[in-house]
Amino acid sequence: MNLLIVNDEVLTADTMKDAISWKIYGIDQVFVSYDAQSARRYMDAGDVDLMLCDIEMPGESGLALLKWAKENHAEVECVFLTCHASFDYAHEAIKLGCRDYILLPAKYEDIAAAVKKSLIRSVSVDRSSSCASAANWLFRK
Amino acid sequence: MLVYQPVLLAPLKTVTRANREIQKGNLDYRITEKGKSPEYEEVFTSFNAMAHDLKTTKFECYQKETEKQKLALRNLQLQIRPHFLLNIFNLIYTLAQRNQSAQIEDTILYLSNYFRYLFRGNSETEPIEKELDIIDGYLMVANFRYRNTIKTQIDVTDEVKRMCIPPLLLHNFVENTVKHGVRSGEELHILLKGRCENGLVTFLIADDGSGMDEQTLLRNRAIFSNDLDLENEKEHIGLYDTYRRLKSYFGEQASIEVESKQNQGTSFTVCFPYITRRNR
Repeated sequence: MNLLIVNDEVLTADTMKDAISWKIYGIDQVFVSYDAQSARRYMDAGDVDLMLCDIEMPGESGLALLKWAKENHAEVECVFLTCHASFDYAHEAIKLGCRDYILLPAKYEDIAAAVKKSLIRSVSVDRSSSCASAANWLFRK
Repeated sequence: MLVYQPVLLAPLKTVTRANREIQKGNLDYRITEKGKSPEYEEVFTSFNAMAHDLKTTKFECYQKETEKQKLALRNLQLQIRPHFLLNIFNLIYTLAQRNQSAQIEDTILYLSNYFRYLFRGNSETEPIEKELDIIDGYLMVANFRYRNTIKTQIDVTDEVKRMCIPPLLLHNFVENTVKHGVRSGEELHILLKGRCENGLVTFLIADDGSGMDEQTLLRNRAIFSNDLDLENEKEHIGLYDTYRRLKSYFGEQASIEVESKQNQGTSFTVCFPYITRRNR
């Protein structure tokens, strides 16, 4: 399983790649993109199973990127990251079919665990549970 | 006496009763009965007109008060800015993950300066020199975040540095430039230039970053010519607020112009009259 980290904040993206022992969580390879354009190239090459994506990026946002991914590479799953708890974002993210939605800063163990959970779920094909986790987040507020 | 009772005293009682109702706060109370003489009819009519005016004035007062509170709240949000703060918290967390304690120290010192600057007490404005100091700190922190890809040249005359402005006016432009200008894998050059000529201060904030597409540029221009009401929108709200603050503090003479080309860069030109604290 391969992971693509998408975040315009270079330091955050690089650190998430280096500081988490991804192998333990079932990830073989980790790629990093600092913008949507480069993320699309990785997906077009067919190397990506799941993306860990920031929502707020200048130019093309994470939401627009997932929309593109669902249209062009339906098999790619997505976990969103954001610093900002906005109802509109979460709502849109659920509609687009993201697997999980994490508020930053978050413990790296929690981020990695969410990635692992999403991969297990994507294998067992249970769409309803991803909605449940996003809905949980929405109503916890 | 008995003769006067219906013509004089009874209508007087009506007026007294109405007055008591108004005093109790029932501003909708009106005298409905007809006056038994033209004089009393006039008293009743003018009483009703007065009660009506009272109600309108009270409502307007209340509305003004609400407006004022809304504006105060907005200003507070503008200053504390949860977005900005959460991004910095995330940066500190990331630096901690990397064991970069020197950078964590610097980030926390910047954040302290920033908040000290905001909660500076009662003065409405601060010298530009102080603002430039905070901007310096911001660019240092931005370079942690974008791994030393931002190069800045600050060129402001001493005369301009002494002038006082509402805080964060320039900081907001620099933030905006960093956020929208950075391109992955490339250096971003920022020029911040401040001059004063013929009593008019001009700031140029220019970069060679990713620039705006035609649509975004037009939208930005609409904001700065007052053609857009962004009250309930989230995008561009930072620049819109900056524009409103600039206008409300400096008045008609203040202006913001923007030029941009995609993949080439963006420049903002901000103008306002030179005023010192004393002659304002």
